[in-house]
Amino acid sequence: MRILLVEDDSALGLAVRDYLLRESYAVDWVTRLGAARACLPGNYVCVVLDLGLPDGDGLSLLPALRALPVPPAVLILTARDRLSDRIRGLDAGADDYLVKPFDLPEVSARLRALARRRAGRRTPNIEIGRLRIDPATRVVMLDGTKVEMSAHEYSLLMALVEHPGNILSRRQLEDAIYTMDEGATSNVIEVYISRLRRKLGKDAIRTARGYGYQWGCAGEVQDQAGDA
Amino acid sequence: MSGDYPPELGQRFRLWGAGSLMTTLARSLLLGLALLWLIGVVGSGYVLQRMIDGKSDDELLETGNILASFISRSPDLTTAATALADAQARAASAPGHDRFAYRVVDGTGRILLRSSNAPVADVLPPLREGLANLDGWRVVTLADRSNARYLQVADPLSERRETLVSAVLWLTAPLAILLAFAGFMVLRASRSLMDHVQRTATAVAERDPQALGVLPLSGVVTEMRPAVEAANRLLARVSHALEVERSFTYNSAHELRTPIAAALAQVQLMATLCEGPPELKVQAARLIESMVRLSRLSERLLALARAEGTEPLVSQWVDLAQVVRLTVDEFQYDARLQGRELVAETEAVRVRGDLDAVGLALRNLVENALVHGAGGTCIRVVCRNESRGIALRVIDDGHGVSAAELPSLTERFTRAGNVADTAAGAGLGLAIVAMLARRMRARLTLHSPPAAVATGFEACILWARPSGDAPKLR
Repeated sequence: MRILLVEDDSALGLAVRDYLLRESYAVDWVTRLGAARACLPGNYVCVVLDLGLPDGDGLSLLPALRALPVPPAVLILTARDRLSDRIRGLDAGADDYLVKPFDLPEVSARLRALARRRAGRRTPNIEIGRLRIDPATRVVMLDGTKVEMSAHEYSLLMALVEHPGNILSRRQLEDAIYTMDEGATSNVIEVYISRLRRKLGKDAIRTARGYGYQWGCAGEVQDQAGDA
Repeated sequence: MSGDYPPELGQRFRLWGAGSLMTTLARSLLLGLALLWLIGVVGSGYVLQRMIDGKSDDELLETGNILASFISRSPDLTTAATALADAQARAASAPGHDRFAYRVVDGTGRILLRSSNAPVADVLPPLREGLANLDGWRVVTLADRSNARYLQVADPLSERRETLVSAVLWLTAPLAILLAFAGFMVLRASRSLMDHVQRTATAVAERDPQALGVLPLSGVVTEMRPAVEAANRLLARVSHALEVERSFTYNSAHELRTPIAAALAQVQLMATLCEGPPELKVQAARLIESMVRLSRLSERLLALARAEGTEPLVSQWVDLAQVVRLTVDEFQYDARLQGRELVAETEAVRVRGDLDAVGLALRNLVENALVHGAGGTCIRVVCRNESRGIALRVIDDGHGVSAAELPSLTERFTRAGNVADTAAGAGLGLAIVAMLARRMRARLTLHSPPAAVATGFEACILWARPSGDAPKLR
């Protein structure tokens, strides 16, 4: 899941980014509004937004976010703790509001809840066919058996299962698992798709030739030993 | 009939009391007027007396001269007596004149002839011509040299006094009426003046001791303005000093937020990444706990600085249900971490207050329940319309506090006994809420256990029901 973090305090930004990276999010971190605007075409699921930024008020970014073809969910992370600030933020289009100081696990929990709401799910856990995913613990179970996943494999799986009916382009999948700094090498998506198919069944992911990939249905695991 | 005076009447009485401006003013003005009136009366009486005496003396002298000419032509006493009696009768018949007295004496003072109303006592020599006062008479003595006799003609002095008294009375009666009228006008003017002063005094006296806003200058009389302006300057200085202090606390606490957030985040990240021995994880947990405590203390200082203002917080209608929903949402994560349920029970109610103040108060109450409500499983945040008014309640089912502790909980830096050792609370939360409630003209009450349950703690902010002009809720 790709996140844009807009936070000007370097110590705080660094800690939040590192924590979210560890939680298998792909995080782009910027410290200015201008840089945040420049990032916007990226397919972010969530934007974590500080309000008191050196080059303006974080709230001024919200219209641009709302104007995107698929608007990301917005979590405001701010020192402004007044109820009127909270209401102003939510009224301006933010989906959630968290006041500093905060627990890092709470940021992660709120981001999961936002992603869930954005995907139209009502329960925290994802159940598709025989597959069951707990986003809070990042545990993937197939027929009741835990399936080990690397961070990138998990992110790719989440991107596919969050939009089960959609065909996701390679670019979209790259956006879901890589930060801007990391970049993606050619064919890397195919490598991860292939690994997921081995772990979850060959029909788990359908290939839409010339377009991208789509979630299919998890089935018999053909070869689980290979890359576990 | 009640023996208590209405406050307005009481103030009026106080205004008339000893040492009041109004009494002093009225007394001085009336005394001054009376003195002036007295001087006027005495002065005019003196002038009148002089005038009456002068005119009467002229008349007496003229009468005397006429009578003297009669007796000088009548050497025989019998003829003279007839002439004098005729003249006396003629004079008495004229309107406005009393009968004068006369007598004729020889050079030794023996009476030769006298009118019936003249005194009988002999006149002691030497006899002198001219005017003199004698035993209540004004006497003119004239010499009849051809017959070696003296003629004395006299008016009673009492007649002159009566004239004077009558004249003075006629003169002073209108003055007395004028004095009464002046007294009435003085009282009216001074009462109107005092009403102005009283209004200013009442405005100052009825002021909330916590309010440091300027006193209004409208309706203040010119003479009182410098005093009110001086008081306003003083209030402004006190207010500014307090504001600077509050602002310092507020800014310091606010500026601390981000560094504390950064430190807490770094420590939490470190704890997450920590692969070392279990002791290290314990140390990290302790560090996190300290950071959380520091953060909470900074929060409370910030809240205290906000709550400590003096102006009433009643500027807007606050939708309590919205405040409850947002606050419950904010603390849901913390409650879940503690394995407790945090539920909102709302009715569509609005109160006169301040959105941020209600938010801050409720935040403190919910934090209070989370920190101090150990042993509980559920925290209820309730807003509803009750018989006594509109209530915002935070009810937990924790251990609660003893009845003896309840009254002191709203004092600063007082913690409930069950957390004194852990120092989890800053001891400011309920004091902050009490201050905010007072500024919103509401009341904070604490109950432990809450009504109809065995254990727990309840904090309730109660607003009097608004007077019917609340906007309709959608």
